[in-house]
Amino acid sequence: MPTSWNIQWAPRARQLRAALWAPGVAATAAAAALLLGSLTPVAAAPPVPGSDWGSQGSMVSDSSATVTWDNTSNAPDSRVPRGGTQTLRHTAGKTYDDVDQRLRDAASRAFGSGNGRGGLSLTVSQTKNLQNQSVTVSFTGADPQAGSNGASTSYLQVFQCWGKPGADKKPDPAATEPDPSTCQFGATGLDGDISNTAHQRSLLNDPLVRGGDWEAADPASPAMNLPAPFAPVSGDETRITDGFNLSEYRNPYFSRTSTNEFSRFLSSEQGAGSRTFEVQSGAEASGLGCGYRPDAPSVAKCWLVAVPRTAAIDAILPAGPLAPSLWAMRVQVPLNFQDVAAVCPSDQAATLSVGSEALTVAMKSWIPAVCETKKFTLGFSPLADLQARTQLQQPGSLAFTTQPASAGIGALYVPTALAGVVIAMTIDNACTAAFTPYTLADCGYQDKADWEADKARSAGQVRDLKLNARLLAKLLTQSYVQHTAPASALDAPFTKPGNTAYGQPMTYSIQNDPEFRKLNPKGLGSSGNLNPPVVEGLRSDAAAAVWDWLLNDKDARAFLNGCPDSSGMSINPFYSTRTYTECQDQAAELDKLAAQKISGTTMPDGFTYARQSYPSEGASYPQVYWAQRAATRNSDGSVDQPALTVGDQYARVQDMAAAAQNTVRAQPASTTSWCADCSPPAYKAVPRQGYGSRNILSITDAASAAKFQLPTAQLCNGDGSLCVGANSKSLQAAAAQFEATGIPGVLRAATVPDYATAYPLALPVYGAVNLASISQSQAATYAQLFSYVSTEGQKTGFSSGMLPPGYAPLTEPLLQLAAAGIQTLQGVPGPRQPEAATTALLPMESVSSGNPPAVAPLAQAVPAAAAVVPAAPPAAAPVAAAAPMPGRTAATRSAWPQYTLVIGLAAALASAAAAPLLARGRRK
Amino acid sequence: MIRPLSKRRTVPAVLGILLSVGMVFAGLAPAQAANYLRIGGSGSSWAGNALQDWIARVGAQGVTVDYENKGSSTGRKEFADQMKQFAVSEIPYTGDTADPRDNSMPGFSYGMLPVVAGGTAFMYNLKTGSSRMTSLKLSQPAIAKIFTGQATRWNDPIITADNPGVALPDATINVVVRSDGSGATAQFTLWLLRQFPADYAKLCAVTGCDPQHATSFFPTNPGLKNFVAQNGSQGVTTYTANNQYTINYDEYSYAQGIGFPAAQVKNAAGFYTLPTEHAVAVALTKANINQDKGSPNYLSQDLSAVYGYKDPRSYPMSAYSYMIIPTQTTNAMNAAQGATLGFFANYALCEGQRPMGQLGYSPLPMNLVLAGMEQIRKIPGVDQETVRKMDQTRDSVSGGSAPACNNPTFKPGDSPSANQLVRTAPFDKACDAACQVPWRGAEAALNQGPAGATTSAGPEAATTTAEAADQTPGAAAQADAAAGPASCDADSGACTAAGAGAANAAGAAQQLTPVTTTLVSSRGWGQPQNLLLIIGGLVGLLVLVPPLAAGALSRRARSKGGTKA
Repeated sequence: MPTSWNIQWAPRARQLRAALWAPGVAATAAAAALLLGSLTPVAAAPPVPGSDWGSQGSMVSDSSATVTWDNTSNAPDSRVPRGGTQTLRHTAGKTYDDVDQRLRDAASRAFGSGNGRGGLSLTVSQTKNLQNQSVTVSFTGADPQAGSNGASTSYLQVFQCWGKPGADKKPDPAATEPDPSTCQFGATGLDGDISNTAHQRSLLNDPLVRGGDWEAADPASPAMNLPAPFAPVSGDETRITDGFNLSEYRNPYFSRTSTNEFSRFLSSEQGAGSRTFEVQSGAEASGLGCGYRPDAPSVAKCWLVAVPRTAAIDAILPAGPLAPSLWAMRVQVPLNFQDVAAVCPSDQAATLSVGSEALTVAMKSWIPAVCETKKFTLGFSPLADLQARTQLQQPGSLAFTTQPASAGIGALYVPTALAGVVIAMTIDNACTAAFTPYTLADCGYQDKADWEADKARSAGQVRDLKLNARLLAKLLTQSYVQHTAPASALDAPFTKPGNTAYGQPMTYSIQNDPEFRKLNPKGLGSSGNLNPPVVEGLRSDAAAAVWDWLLNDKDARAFLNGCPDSSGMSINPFYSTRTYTECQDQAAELDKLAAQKISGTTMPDGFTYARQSYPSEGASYPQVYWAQRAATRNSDGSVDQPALTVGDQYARVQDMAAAAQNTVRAQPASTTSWCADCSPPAYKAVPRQGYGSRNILSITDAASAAKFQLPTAQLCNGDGSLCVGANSKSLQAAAAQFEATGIPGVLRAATVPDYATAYPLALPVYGAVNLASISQSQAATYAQLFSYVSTEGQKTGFSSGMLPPGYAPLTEPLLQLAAAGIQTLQGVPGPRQPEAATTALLPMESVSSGNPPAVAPLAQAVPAAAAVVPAAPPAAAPVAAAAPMPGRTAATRSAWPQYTLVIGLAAALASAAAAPLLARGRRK
Repeated sequence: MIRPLSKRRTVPAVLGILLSVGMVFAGLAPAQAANYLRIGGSGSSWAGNALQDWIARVGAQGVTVDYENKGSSTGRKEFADQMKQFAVSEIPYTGDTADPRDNSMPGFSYGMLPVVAGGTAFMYNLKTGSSRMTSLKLSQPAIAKIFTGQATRWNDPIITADNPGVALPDATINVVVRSDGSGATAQFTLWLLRQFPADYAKLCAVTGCDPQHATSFFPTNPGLKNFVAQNGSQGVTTYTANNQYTINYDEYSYAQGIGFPAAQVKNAAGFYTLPTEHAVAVALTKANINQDKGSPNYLSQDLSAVYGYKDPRSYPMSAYSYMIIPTQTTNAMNAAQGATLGFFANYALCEGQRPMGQLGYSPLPMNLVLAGMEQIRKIPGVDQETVRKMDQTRDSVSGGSAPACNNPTFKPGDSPSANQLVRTAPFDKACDAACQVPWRGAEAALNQGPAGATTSAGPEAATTTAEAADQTPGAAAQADAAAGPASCDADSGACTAAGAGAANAAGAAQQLTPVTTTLVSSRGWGQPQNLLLIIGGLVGLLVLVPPLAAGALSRRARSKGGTKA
């Protein structure tokens, strides 16, 4: 296992913490910490930005850094001299001046300040207090070096390095530049090609390697075809012959699935580009160990390195960017990480909880801090809210949900987070890619200045998409021709573009929809497809909130009921309720057309047509399998490729986190790519979309979107006069307008959204506790958790323990509800019944209880009022009263003994501390 | 002052150390997980929800594990091809439960360990009138007929027989199967092959599959008209949720995640059960575990005796899911990655089992947890910390003390083969005291496997040792069903009326199992005892340290005074 050294150029906070353990102070401080376990950590992190997340996707920070290729005004540790003062490591002392003249000229021509565009300038949006997160890496001023087809050939290779080993192989804290051997590169990134030597750790034919230690390390190897070794932060020796560049999966430290490298970050024709880069801490990139931790090899300061290249450079030296001649061309930015949060011992029994996936991101931040300050491990298993609510019937359980459980359960609801559901997107903006004679007309710019401004703001991506409820309803119901796959016009004639046989033809795509154009006069700047949103399969309250919003919107509801919009576009009839409630005067005619469309469609075997109803009682986002691409058959009649269904075309992903992941990776959720070479042949996931032509929408939670800095759609009212994006302010405004549900203490989003200020898809998440079955110690534990969550846990920031971007801090009324709930929990009296162990066993539902899971009617009679403590052991829990709960009794929950221990320790310490005083006193 | 520690400083320093040690033992102090390398695996989507939970929770420990639900076949292939550090699969590489079409074999030594138990649920989408039907009951023969394309209408007599009084629609059954190679399919077709070989043969006659072997790829080619294949657990679940008249097979957690009902399956005792953690635990006491330590399939399962088990609480389609691990370093895994894998596997077996019931799985019994941990020790590079935890678990089990991973199947002091979920599994209302007797008592329903009961001491000991079932698979279980003490026959449906009637009458009342309550601490040495010991020690310190410290200080003061003077 890793050696135990680490680096000590720690910030003050760390030294302070180390000092605490110095003899003398140690015992007292520890005792104090023990006794006052709820005190905040000694070293409070400095205030960090992170509250300005929003629909644009980007977040500002106070630590963005810009560096230029010519080093004009670069900070000292970002300076890479283009001359003899840049010594190249692993080359036996050679310098930049030893690099092939042609390479130096080509690089200077493309990236130097004399290139006519001001020279390459690279900006990293945040460089301090980093953890595993996304930052925006953007550049301008490169010469695109257009190839024969007019496309840019300039590109950057961007990757993360841990620094420079000192003479003792430990990280050198004084390093002013990273060593190429410490870089996570060569597994080929999302945009890479494993067979391209330029995307590997290849040192191919770089003459500078000669005589250096890399060559000496493996004299047997053909000297000109070495891969650059990888030096992990642990100091472990890795032999070059381990094949570090050749097969991604043989590298134990990083692989194609885990790496964050960009193999080919292509410049636009304007010499610019912008991408989201995943910064990895030691947990994600164990070979780098970024983020200080006291017990393992780690570094607080890592580096982001970008090696700029062009076709001309590649023609001279097609090696990887770690080859000294190419490495010499790099720009570099230090990345300062926050300390890695301590975690609870993994063998400590966790306090289990289940529930809302909208809380996943916050939980990741809170759990280590809860351990540190409240001294218990919280285990959180995201489940469908629906399923989580049924868990409330288990004694003592803690579930997180948005909607309340049935009143009979008598749960206590404590507000824990203000989350949001968003429509996240990764859409490359073709409009800003190039200014052509058609740009003004196609993209709706007033003039070139308008275009320039948009380009500067959007950094190549669509960041100001506006949707209303009806447009989302259209996207979710396969109502555009482009979205009717896998139906063919042969099988479903009404989907044929321009077909007037069924009344008004289907609208081809969202970009042809006048309603969309009105909201988005600049369009998407792309004639490409825009798929229906990637959505989850889980039955979450987030999905329910989306449908509530649609159904409370009269236009969207009318559309779902079969009524056409103002331009005459109507729903795909298979998704229609065909009730025409909002357009009764046309009902007969509309229904006739719908019936014709349906009868004219060749439906798949086994498909039974039924009118839809909303919200769907069956699925988070209903999917009608009304069409398929028929199986293709071999000459002998056997099936070659099986039928392709709607579910293959628009597959559901597991949860909202996966939807966000698909969006940032530009991975459509379609398994329609036939793999004939597979054994057996099968449909597989389609490839990711290439940079420049990405267009993915998804419905996810605001925190998952913010984690990847994804832009999100603004939601507009019916006439488009008011639009509001999800951000901290609009979620809080929505919370101010929350309405009561039938359950005390539980609020829900307003039925009529105020689009001026309030984001319609705000999602309160409650921690729900079944008061009837909770024990005193459980109640105390939960009260501790909620008191953390409603105080420290509501402070916005990137640091562990804080409220991550994508949530709004709880508003004052919600905080009051939380405080009342905590008080209730603190007042829970001792066990009112033989306390069931945490894994209390419930009777299995009998055959008669039916299904979905029906559970024993525990505690029907408990008052539901949030702040009311049942004064007496309620006559509830009749079942438990009738028969003692089976299984273990309270496994002598260790609360008391632990406190005894603490008190004993404290007393021992106090006497130890007093002893010297006593001794001193006696001496006098 | 800054130089070597003076004695005066030593005392508090030592105390500080003692204190921090105490804190760690008391489980109070945050600590850092070791710096584990990131690892990845792929495979079973049947167990995917469990894996996702473990990964999220070790993520909170600062350990990164990647997992892709690509299906067991792909998982085994990627593991064999040394692309991933581990695989998760319901079936082994070799033996009669393996699929001959999965032809990739690891070229290195490997082992299997069970990681979670679960039930293959039959989720369905049926409406009677305008309301969703939620109480569909199916006999095992009916399931066999449905999934071999012989019963194609919902109102087929074989289905209506188990659902008296229910107006089942006169509609085609839309059977949804997995299109990708999956362990769920392998286990399901194995059940067909063993329990209903004639039906399986008919399926194979139509689709061209091998009637002698189960398969990971559900045979539908060249096309059973009313079958549709969908990709992955997510695909079959979404399809079923969105299409009426459908039925599929997959792990129970998927139906629960989408809020859909699963069919109550009639077990060999004639009772209808759902794959709850209890019913699965009861059934798997009959899983015959491979105990040949020399076999690569060591710990793999033979479920032949599970299918026909006549405990009234048993869910017949229960199974274990396995993690497949390398037991030597490979191109995919060095020792440092092995340390991560050991940590992760131990986490899954220990703390990871606790929420399994809530997710729709069933926690592993303690004897398999222990056997699995022995497998983990074979992972190259497994570190001291993980070994220490496994030692602690082993010792706490044999010593009868907590924590033993807080595994809900285990009661300290009890045999690790005795699954508390089985002991506390409730009986159906219709199963009266006499009906329950054979399934109660300390010796009833012990889990098999290493350190477990070698022979079942239950009422079926005579008829259903796993070996016997093995030799005459289908027949054994059926003969068993006819001969056993329980009241109903699995196949004839003779008891349907009784069972169903009683079930209907049961209403909201639930029969609870009056199990004797035993204090944890009343047997053997437990955590409280440990704590008391520590406290005692600390009180001792309280008494001894001050005088000693004072003595030390006064000596020091004297000598100091001496030098000054």
